[in-house]
Amino acid sequence: MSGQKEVIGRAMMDSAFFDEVRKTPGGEKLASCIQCGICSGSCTTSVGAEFNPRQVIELILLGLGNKALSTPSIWTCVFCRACTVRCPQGIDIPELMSSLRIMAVKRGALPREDRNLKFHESFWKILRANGRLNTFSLYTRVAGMQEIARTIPLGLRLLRKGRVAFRTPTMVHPEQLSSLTEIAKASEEASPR
Amino acid sequence: MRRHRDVGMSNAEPRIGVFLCHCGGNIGNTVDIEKVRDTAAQFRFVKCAETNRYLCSSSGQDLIRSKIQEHGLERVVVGSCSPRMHLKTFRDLCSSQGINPYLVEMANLREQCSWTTLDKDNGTDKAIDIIAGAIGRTAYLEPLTPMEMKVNSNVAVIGGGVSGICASLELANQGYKVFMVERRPSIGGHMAQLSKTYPTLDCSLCILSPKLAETKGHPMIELMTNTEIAAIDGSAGAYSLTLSRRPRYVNENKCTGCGECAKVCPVEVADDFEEETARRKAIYLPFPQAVPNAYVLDEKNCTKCWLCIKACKHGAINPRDQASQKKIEAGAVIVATGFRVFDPSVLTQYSFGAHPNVVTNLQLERFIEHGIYRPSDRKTPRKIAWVLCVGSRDSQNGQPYCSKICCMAAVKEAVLLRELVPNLETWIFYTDLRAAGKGYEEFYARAKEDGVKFIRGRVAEVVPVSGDELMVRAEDTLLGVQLEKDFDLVVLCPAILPEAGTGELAERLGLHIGSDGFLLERHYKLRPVDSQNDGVFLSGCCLGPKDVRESVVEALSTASRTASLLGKGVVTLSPEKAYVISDRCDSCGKCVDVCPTRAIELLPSGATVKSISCAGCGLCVPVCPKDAIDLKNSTEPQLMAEIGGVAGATERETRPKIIAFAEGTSAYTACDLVGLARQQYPTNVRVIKVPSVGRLHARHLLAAFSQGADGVIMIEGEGTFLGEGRFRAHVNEIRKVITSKGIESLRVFATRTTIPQFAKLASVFQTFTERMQKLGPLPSDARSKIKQVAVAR
Repeated sequence: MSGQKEVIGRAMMDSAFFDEVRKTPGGEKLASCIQCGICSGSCTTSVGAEFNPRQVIELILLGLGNKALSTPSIWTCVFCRACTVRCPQGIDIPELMSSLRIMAVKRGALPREDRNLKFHESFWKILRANGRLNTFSLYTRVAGMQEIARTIPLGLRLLRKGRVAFRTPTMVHPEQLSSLTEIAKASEEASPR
Repeated sequence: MRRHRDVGMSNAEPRIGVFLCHCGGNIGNTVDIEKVRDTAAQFRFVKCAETNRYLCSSSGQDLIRSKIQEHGLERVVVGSCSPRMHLKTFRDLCSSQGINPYLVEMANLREQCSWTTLDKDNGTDKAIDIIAGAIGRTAYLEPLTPMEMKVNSNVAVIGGGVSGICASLELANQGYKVFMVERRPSIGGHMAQLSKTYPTLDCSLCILSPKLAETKGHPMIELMTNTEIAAIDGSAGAYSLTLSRRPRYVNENKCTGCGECAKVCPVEVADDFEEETARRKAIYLPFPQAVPNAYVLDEKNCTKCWLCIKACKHGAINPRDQASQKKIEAGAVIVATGFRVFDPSVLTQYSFGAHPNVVTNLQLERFIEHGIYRPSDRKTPRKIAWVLCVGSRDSQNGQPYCSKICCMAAVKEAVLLRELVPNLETWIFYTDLRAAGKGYEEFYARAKEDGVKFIRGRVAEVVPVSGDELMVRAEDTLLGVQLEKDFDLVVLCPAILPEAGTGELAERLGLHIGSDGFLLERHYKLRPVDSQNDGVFLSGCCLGPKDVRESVVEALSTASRTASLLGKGVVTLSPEKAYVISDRCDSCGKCVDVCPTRAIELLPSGATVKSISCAGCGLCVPVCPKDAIDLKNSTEPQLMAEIGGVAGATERETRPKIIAFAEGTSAYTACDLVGLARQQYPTNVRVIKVPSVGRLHARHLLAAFSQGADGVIMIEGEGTFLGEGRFRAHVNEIRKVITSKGIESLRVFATRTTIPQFAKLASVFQTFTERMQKLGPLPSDARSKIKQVAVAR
């Protein structure tokens, strides 16, 4: 639930934004949303977020592009797909969140200081550099110093069991990494969004 | 200007009047009506051409009347809306002026022209072509007289729920003999299962059972339970139905309903009337007020121990009872087959079947009747939740439509239970609460005042938390927060579906099924209880979800529609029938083989058409090698003249020009619906109505090509006499001839459609036009080459 309430004026609404989102993956059936709330009732991660999935869709339907792209709520989705399995209108909400994230990155409309966003950024940075994930490095990038200090006992236990490693696992064919990133880049440029 | 086509009429020149309608701006905005009039006025035989703002208005009709007098008109062309709309209006009008109604032709300028385009220039050109076709055809029209047939005044009512019962009683009281056919062992339907009815809280069975008794005792009603329709034949006024009765093993007349048989019966099974909340014996009375009030033996579960025979003091049990068939004759049929409910166990998140305290609302109705308890420990529940839209408004996992009755049923149940159980918590989780209806909103307000809680949010999941308790999780969308609450009884309100077997029955009766699976009415607004088949009427939930009051309203409507069909004692039959030109017939019998209604007989004198059986589909016409059979009101010269007019009228050439032959009922209606939905398609496409694609011969397509068409589309309705296989074969046959004349096969396209699929036609027209644009116009040498071939006989 958003804490601060304000009047939504006509100037804030941009129907072009709605049309744009409709054309992105996940946006195909967006317009048929009946606001029943089964998505938000099923959502495991949006509790406490500024907007739940139903409200994010309502923002798009009203054309409130700035709000929809800059809210940290679009970064909370973990792709469990409980919402989509139950959605009576067949809206692919995780895919929609993904599209919104891409739009937000392209427009630089990212939220300030958001843990989920930081996670995504670090995740991809490590992956692009090494082709494999370094969980320790990922955690230290996302968590603050205090948090790290507090979780040292847990970290040691995980380390003993081999669930966390300082070392980045190596790729069998590291030379393929650059060609993979190139392909990804090319397809990104070729795609309309 | 316009070349004067020699239409080669043998008799004196027919005097044709052309009347064009603006329909306010409906036609006038995208068709230059005055220009169409000026062009039409120059056509041969046209003695006058007039326009009017609304031809169907009394001033418009006055205009037609006065022009008929002034010019001595013998035939009339009206360019306005679809003939489905006003053909009868204008036929009646001209008939009053002494013109045979079959000499009146309508040109569809609205649904199939002005409503499908925004381009006025091209719209006008298209309208001129349509009018030219209509004038061409009109010159060849022949006066026809409908035949009259004596009707059978019996009525067959299929389904003994509240709708079927009310329709039967209404007709029986008017003096019609009614056969009531019910599949189950008792009449009463779903209404017999309900506790009370909203919003008045009348006891459901208290108001229904007098009607059940009246049905049973009525001298004009013959009640047949345990019986289904096996076959049906005939047409409006003269149906013949074959009924098949399952054995009851109990003589209805001897059984007193004492119940001694059930006491000794050792078999116990779940009771379907009680929605499996109770058990019954293998020999049982469906419910205490059942009609007929006779026990019935459940063949599937009976062990044939026959203890019941010994127990029965009246000798009512007959172990040798057998299935039997019976034929009845009826002039009209009323279908009132009702509904079944969606199986909520499909939606696993609601734990139906996984936890005993999750029930459907029909089960709850039975609980209310017998004393409310929660199934897990049979104690009184303290907290009940209703989950609405279980399978309704759910295009992914259920049905896309709203089931309409669940909101009010849940509100009613909550109100009733609060009276029965003190301090009961009642929470209704809804998507949108729909309380539209007389007294419904007031009832909803009362429920709120009584203390029923309403949460706006579709329930996400029902999670078992202990032996008795369940946790309901949903978003309260009005707050935007997730809500979790424990209940000890969760009531699911499943979607309303058409009764099992509706599809098969529709096939037997020649009815249409809508995209939602329910039966389809003839016209959504104006003929809401007529089916596609004359003489078959539809009532109640077989048409869609509705409550008792609406089911009764429809029952009374069908009774009235039935009475107006049968009341006159005769029905008029369309004169649009096949006829044989006997001096050409060499008795080869090809027409006999293709006739879907077996209306053609081979007599020594040649083939003969039985007019009563002929459906007027015209499949027999193209197969005749001697051109010895033709169809009234769609004769060879009429069709050729219309093709000539549509294909070659306008001076400003439309390229590519496309002619779409549409089968007269479903496909033509679908074309109308495209316009009604204001879906745009290229004006290149002009529709010609034919009785069936099976009426067409390759020479009709050649005539179209030779006179200006660049492409031809053929559209057949689904469920017509030309089934899928024969349709494909017929089209291939035509295609073979067309390609042999040097025309690319790509220029011919054929498809089948149902009425609800109309939207696909707009895209068919669009893509086919684009294809023809790529292909370019038919080369003139190809056109002239086929010109010699394509002369009308």
